[in-house]
Amino acid sequence: MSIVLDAGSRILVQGITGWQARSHLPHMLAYGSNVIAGVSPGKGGQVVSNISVFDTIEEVLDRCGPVDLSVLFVPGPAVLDASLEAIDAGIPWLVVLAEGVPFRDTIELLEHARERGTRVIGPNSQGIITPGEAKVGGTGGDDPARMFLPGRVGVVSRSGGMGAETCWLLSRNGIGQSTYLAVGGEFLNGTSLLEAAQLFEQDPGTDVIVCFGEPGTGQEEKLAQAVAAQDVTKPLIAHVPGDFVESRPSGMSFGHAGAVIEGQVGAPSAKRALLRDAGVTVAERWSDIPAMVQSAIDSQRPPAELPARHN
Amino acid sequence: MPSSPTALQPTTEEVDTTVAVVLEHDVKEALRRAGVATPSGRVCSHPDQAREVAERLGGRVAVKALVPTGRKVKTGGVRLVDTAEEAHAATTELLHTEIHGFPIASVLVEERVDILKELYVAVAPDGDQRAWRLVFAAGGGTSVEHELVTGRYETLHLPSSGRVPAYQVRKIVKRAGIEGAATPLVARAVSAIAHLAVELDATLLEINPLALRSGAPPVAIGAMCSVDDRALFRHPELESRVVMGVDRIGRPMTDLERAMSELNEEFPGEGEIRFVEFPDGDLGFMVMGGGAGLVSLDELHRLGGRPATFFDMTAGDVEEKIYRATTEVLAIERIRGLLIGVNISAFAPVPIRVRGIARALRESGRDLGDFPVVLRLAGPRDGEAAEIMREFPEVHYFRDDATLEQAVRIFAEEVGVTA
Repeated sequence: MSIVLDAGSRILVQGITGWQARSHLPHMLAYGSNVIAGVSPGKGGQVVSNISVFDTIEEVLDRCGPVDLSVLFVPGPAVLDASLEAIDAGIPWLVVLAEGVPFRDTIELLEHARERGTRVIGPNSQGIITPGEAKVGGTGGDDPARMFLPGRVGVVSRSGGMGAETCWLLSRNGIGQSTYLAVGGEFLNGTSLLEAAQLFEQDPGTDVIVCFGEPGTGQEEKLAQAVAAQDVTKPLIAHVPGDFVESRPSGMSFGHAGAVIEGQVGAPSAKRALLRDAGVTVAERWSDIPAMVQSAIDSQRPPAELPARHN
Repeated sequence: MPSSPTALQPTTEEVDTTVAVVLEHDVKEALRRAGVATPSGRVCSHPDQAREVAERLGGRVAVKALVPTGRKVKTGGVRLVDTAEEAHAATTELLHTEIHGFPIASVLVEERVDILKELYVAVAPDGDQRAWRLVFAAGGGTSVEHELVTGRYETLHLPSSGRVPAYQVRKIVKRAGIEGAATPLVARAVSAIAHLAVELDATLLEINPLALRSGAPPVAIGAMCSVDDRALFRHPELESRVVMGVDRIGRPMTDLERAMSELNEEFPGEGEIRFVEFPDGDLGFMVMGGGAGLVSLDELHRLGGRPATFFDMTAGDVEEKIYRATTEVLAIERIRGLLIGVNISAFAPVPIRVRGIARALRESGRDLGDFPVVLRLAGPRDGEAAEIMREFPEVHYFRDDATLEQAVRIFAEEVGVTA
């Protein structure tokens, strides 16, 4: 089991004829992702990596059937229009990879998605991978097996690079992942750490959740609140780096409005304290994560079933 | 880390972030077009011109430096004078001054308005609510910080259009303590400001103060605006009006920071550099990737090491650019060693970066026997990268045989850092 994506997910690729899609699509297909069609306005009739290209999503739905998830390889300025098309077509999941989506466009597309019940991951997400089943976006590259291993730990990260590297570290310690989801490094994104954790909470294939946070935004704070309120009950291991930057004197910001938030949230040490108080296992060092995950896994099993440990 | 709205993005970094700023006179022109009153005034680039304008305005004017920074009152960028002669003198002085490293090329000379009460309005994207957020306080001017920190402000979230029913704005204006006939007048100005912020793709539009007058619409006395540089493609009208300023000003840029920002201009597009110099550090630090940089800096910090640099660069065809950047860092005299790292990459071929780094090391003139260099770059074709690094037997090159934290620990040992 997994969240958002599995081997059966019917995937649409928007912006399929662009260079980004052309470089990542072959890796997605080679990994087993079930891409049913692509869309590129004006390029209908072309074929990319054996996948048929259509001008509109309407045609895709008519000719190829329903779509579970659309991954947008379109550049930032084109994201709003492409997402509105997918949202209006009733596609349940969108993964937006582009950097550089204007904030105003993100606000508009998320507003529209909320009204229509579409869930959005990103913008600026590195993608999603359900190890051994499917992947969308760049994560894992051409050799996902080097970093990802099928298993029962859900990983969510605000940093695409460190999230993937966290999976690599877990894999190296023999701990597999149910799904890895990069929520995207944006300040304004469609799926927060908490919303990802809630998805893992509902997933029977996930036993433990690992969360890589960052300074800034209120995402870790909200996650802590939800854990304290028992909305997320599975063992959660979190790492929030940023002590060095916190140790530096902070500057004077351009506007005053920053003070409204800065007084309350954002500092990594405060985030960790809130998470810890809520019952989350906080890794002070990033490399402590695998041992903490292992002990969470061990404590969930009845003692008689504990496998022999070889050290 | 990605670019973010400058104001509502909470951060504890000292990092000076570049921000696209619309200068005050241009913001005020946009406000007037949106139906918000502003003081009469003119941009002047010569003291004589300032005297003339001040005379015409009755002598009692404000002379404001036009620079892309905030907090102009606190930094001495605003002079309140009573005569045209004083306006001349203030302009002469300002035109020979810098604010946060920005030379003042022109000033805005404006009439001074009789103010009943100072109000505060700000609009910016809100990441938590995924909407536009309007903040309104019935206490503005230099004391607004106190109002904001103590929670004496009203908040309203706006839909993506930036248009909200007038009664909702009247409600928060009233709640903030604006009474009687002033309520609709203030609400109308606040609504116009909110809509303008969205229209401009502002990352912050801040009116401080918005001056309450008796029986007339309020006047926007102070106006600052930063815009989303990712949306400039749809604002041809702003093209000639946006200047790059800095947010979170701790100090002026160092020469090295300026050199790195020039590298970005020379090599636009791929491999965007974000760079900060720490004058109190003595270790070269170039771990790329926002999260990777944070994790590695934390480990170095725990071990007692003090970085002289923070360097991040996005992927791409960056061989030449990373060569130039590494050369700049290696030229910092006070550094005692260099650590370069990056997340295990899924798609960026490692030799691209390593070739550039190798060239910089070769040409630096540093005695690598006495100047520890640790690299940790893993990903596609890292075997080839290891071959390249064979030329430097003193350099520790790790692929995925070490974590970033392990590489930092080895680096700390090599440079003899003690906690």
